[in-house]
This record gives sequence, structure tokens and C-alpha cells, in this order.
Amino acid sequence: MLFGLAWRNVWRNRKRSLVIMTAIALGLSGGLFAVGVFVGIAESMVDSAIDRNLAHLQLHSHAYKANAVINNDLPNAGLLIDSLKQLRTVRGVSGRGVFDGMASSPTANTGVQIIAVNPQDEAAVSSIGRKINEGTYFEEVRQNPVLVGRKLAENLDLRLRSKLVLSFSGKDGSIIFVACRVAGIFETESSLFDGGTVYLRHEELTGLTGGEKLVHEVAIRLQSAEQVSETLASVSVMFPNVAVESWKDLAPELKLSAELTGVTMLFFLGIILFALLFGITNTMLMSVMDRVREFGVLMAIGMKRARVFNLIVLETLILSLTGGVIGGIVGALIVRTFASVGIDLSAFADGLSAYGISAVLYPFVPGEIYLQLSFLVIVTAVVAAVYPGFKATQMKPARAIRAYT
Amino acid sequence: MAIIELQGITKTYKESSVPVHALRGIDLSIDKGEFAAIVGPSGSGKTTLLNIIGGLDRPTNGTVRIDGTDISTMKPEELIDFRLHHIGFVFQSYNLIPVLTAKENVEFVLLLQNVSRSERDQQAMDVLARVGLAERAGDRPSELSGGQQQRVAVGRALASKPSFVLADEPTANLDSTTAESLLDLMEHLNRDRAMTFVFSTHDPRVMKRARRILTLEDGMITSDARQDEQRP
Ligand SMILES: Nc1ncnc2c1ncn2[C@@H]1O[C@H](COP(=O)(O)OP(=O)(O)OP(=O)(O)O)[C@@H](O)[C@H]1O
Ligand SMILES: [Mg+2]
Repeated sequence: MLFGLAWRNVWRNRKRSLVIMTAIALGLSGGLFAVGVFVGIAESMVDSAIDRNLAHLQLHSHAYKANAVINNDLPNAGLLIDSLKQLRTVRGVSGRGVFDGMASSPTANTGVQIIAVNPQDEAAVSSIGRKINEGTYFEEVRQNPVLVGRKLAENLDLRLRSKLVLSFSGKDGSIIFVACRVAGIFETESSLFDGGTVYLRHEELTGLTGGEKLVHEVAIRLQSAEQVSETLASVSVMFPNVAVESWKDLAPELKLSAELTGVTMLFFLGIILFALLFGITNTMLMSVMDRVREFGVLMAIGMKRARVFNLIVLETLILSLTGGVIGGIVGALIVRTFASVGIDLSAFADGLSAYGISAVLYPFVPGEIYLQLSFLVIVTAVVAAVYPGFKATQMKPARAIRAYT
Repeated sequence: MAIIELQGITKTYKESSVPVHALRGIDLSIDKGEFAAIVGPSGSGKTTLLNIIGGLDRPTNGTVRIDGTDISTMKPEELIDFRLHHIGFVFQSYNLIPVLTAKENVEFVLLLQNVSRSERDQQAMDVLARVGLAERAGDRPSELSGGQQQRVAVGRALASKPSFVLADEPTANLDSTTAESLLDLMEHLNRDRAMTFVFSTHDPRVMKRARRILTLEDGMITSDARQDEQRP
């Protein structure tokens, strides 16, 4: 009955209640959409980094972790890769030789990271093969085909089939030169990566590095991102002498930004609610002032102050939660709509690629945000109710009833 | 036994620039089963006196004893609870909660008394039948006439099973026939159920229905007359 009373009281001044409910609904749905966009951006940064090169897990020799030089390669990499491929959760494994060196064209040169891969293995781990937007994935060029990033191609003035020379220091300290031709030009979400990376086939390199296939890094792509910690544990047990790390260890800045996004978004919603709090308090205060006489009568006939206070809290909760639920549903629908269509940011893509963000954004609001938001709305309502509730209990029955006009 | 006992009551309102001596020494005792009217000119202190009897206001001096309990020293929260269980109120207007139906208005006071839901339901319907509004149970106050609203208010006052009902000008907003019928109801409840009523009025017709008439003038009781039953 108290709930019924509170509910009907809320609808007494329909217009006033609807105004504040609409404000809450708009504030929260807008807030949720913004959250969706920011979480979407954070996820896109993580996803595209994993997809591009990071993969889910990476193995290195401990020596390489301490000093990333050519000599610190992984011994017996072939065997290691073969046994990793047997694991249930593993989708692909790629052994990479990683060399810091120079790329020179007739017109310019620049420092690059040269990554030697088995094209087939690498295709199962990263999306680089799918990011080729000119040329092919190591095909149609007979001798030493390489893949270069779009940015690098621009900087070195390279086209398809252009010649370039890669140089890096070999195991004995001598400089090794490799003359190559551009087979494909890739363009990922990250212009930084595109400006400094060259892919080369392992087979071409083997002869130049003393006949052995040098692998510095083994990248593992899992069936699903949820299997990271589980697989990390079992691989660490299988290969105790190798450094096994997840993408979170390898790119702590990405992990941090993903985590910070959650906290930031909650803070952001909190600010919206804080602003709404004043509107809610104001509405409830008006409502209480309209009912001075009624509270006087109620306290005269025996309603204790705590109960009057609770009634106001209940009314405020109904007001806020109705607005909040509508805002939550509308916000979720907006997010879901844009999540299936995607938000095309290609107009800003040049700017975004500097941060490794893809051009089409899929907003996403994690489920726990809704839970935390509901909690925040309840807290806001209770806080907003304190002053009006206090006012209502300060009515003096004799005075309130006497005020007839 | 006296259920209402006032001794040396004075009330001075000090909020205004000049203090107003609304009551200047009231001694009064009202017994169970009385049907008493407080009459007097406007500003004579009727409302002030009823508020003090009902524990809605505190006297400046003197003691108020209800059912043998001194309420003048009670803490505010205790006083609210005391009113809930001992005193029924009918005001001149704005008695009812507009968003609740007639039955719910009656039921509300039972809810405050923590009566269980099923008992509330039954008792509220009983009371509404007693005030002759059983068939209007589901109507909101705005759908009822002024007289019917006052009947609901009387019903609510009865529902709490108080020692007595205080009514400050309960007929002031009613036309004379409606006023008569509300008086009939109160009289009937007084006679058949021995419910004590203390009410204030300006209306001479209401006055003559009372069996005891207390006349207030300038904050003092100037006459206390008991009239015999006027009807055979
Ligand atoms: N809160 C207050 N502050 C100051 N003076 C007050 C207050 N309430 C009542 N009074 C004064 O006390 C006196 C008695 O008022 P009260 O309302 O009790 O009279 P009443 O007999 O009920 O009058 P009416 O017949 O008009 O209802 C009046 O002079 C009134 O102006
Ligand atoms: Mg009065």
C-alpha cells in the first residue's frame, strides 16, 4: 500500500514527473551511448593490436627478453611450434624471426623492423595477409618478395615490384644485405606499424643467416580471447625455460587503457547523475511543498517522521528508476543498433590510425556497466531524497492544518 | 472516568511581534461517552484548544492528561504514536489523501498501526459501512461530495479505535442538510458505540445537537452547559 501510495503520488503532477524522468532517460541513454563508443574504441585498439601482430600469447627466449638481438633466438623452435599446434585452444602458431635493420630505396632509407615468417603460419595468427590493399601476399614476385606498410611505401617512394634493400647485422656482427621486391602493400589501423614494418619469407633469409632458421618470437593465436590465461598457464608448464607472455603483459598500455576506460566511463556516468541529482531534488522539493498540508494531516493522525521520510525516498526512487530504466533500455537499443551497423569513422580515419583505431567503430557496453549504473541511480535517488524528505518531516501538523485558504 | 483532563492551560503565541494570548487558563475534564461542542466567536481559541487536547500543539503552561497519561512532556515521536492509538481527528478540510480511495484512506491509519493486510481490509470495509459509504469504497476523494469526504474522515478517525474523536469545525464547509446528516452520523456513533466526540463549531444548529456546550471567549471558558437529550 505504501508503494501504491508512492507510485500514485509520483503521477500526481504528471507533467513535472515526466520532465524529470525524460531528463534522466536522456542523460542516461546519451551517457550509455558515449560509454559504448569509448569502450568500442578501447576494444578496437586491443582487437586490432592482437589481430595485427600481437596475437594472444608470445614466446621468447629469456635472453631475448633481456636483450633483443639476433643471437638470442629460440633454440629448437620447430619442435616447439609443432607441439604448440597440437593444443586444443590454439588456432594458429607462427614462428617469427625479428631483426632491427634498415630499408633503403633509391631515394631514401629508414629504420625498420624486419619480420621473417612462414606465410601460411602467419596467416593463421595475424590479419596481415588480409590487410594487403595493393599487390599480393608474397605472390607474383619470384625473388625475395616482401610486404611493406603503406606508410613505409610512401616514405620510401615504393610501388609494387619496386626494389628495396634490407640490411641488418648478422650473428657474427657483419652486415647482411638483402635485395627484395615489393609484392604487397598492407595498411593496418596503425600508421606507426605501417611505417616501420617489413615482412619477409623465412626461406629467403635462411641462406643468408648461416643456414639455420632463426626464430626469435613465437606468436600464438587462440580460438577465443577468453582462453588466454588458461593457455598461458599450460604453455608455461610445457616450456619452463621459455618466456611465455600474454598480450596484456606484452602491451601493458593497452591493458591499462582497456581497464581505465571502464573506470572513466563509470566516473562519466557519475557526473551525469550528479547533475541530474539536483533536478531530482528540485522536483521532489516542489512536490513536498505542494503537499505541506497533507503531510501535516498524516503526521497528525499518527504517521511517524521516519515513515514520512521513507515515503519521500520511495517516491524519489520510483521517479528516478522509472527514468533510469527507460534511459537504460533506450541507451541499450541505441548501442545495439549502432553495434550491428557500425559507426563509420572513415572521415576521421587518418587521425585515428595514429592511435591504432579502426575506421568502423562498434560501440559496446559491457553488462556490468548496467549493473553499476542501476546501483548509481539508486544511490543518486536516495541522496536526492534526503533534503526533500527532511523538509517533509519538518512540517508542524498544527501549523500545516491551520494554513487553510 | 475522565479521558481528557486539562489543568491550568495557557497558550501564548510569541512568533508575532505582539504576543497573542490565545488561551488564558483552561481547566477542563471530559468523560468517556460525551458529545461536547466548543463554541465561541472567531479567534476565541477553539482551534488552539483542540490542537492542545489532540497533542498537535503544546501548551505554554499547564498539563494535558489523555487516558491518564500526561502528554505535555512526551517526545515528538512518542506523541505521534500516542495520537495514532488514542485520538481520532476530523479536520475542517483537506482531511483525505487525494490519491487514495475512500477505503484506502481509512485503511491507511490501520497500516500505520501495523495491522495485517487481511484485517485491514475487513476493518476498513466495516468502518465504511458504518459511515454509510460501503458502495463508494473505490472512489477517490475528488469523486465524493464534501459531506461524503467528511464521512470518510470520520470513518478514518474511528478505524484507529481511539478513545475519542476531535473534530475542528467538521461541518464548516458543508451545506445545512449535509451538515445535519454528518451530525446524525456522529450522534449515532456516540449513542450506539459510546464514541466520545469533542468538536468545535460556529453553527447554531450543530450547537444545539451537543449535550455539553463549552463556550470560549477570549481564551477562557465562560460557560459550561449540559443540555438534556432533546429527542425522545
Ligand atoms: N500560529 C499562530 N501565531 C500567532 N497567533 C496565532 C497563531 N494561531 C492562532 N493565533 C491566534 O490565536 C487566537 C486564537 O486562534 P484560534 O484559531 O484558536 O481561534 P478560533 O476560535 O479557532 O477561530 P476560528 O473560529 O476563526 O477558527 C487568534 O487571535 C489567532 O489569531
Ligand atoms: Mg478555528
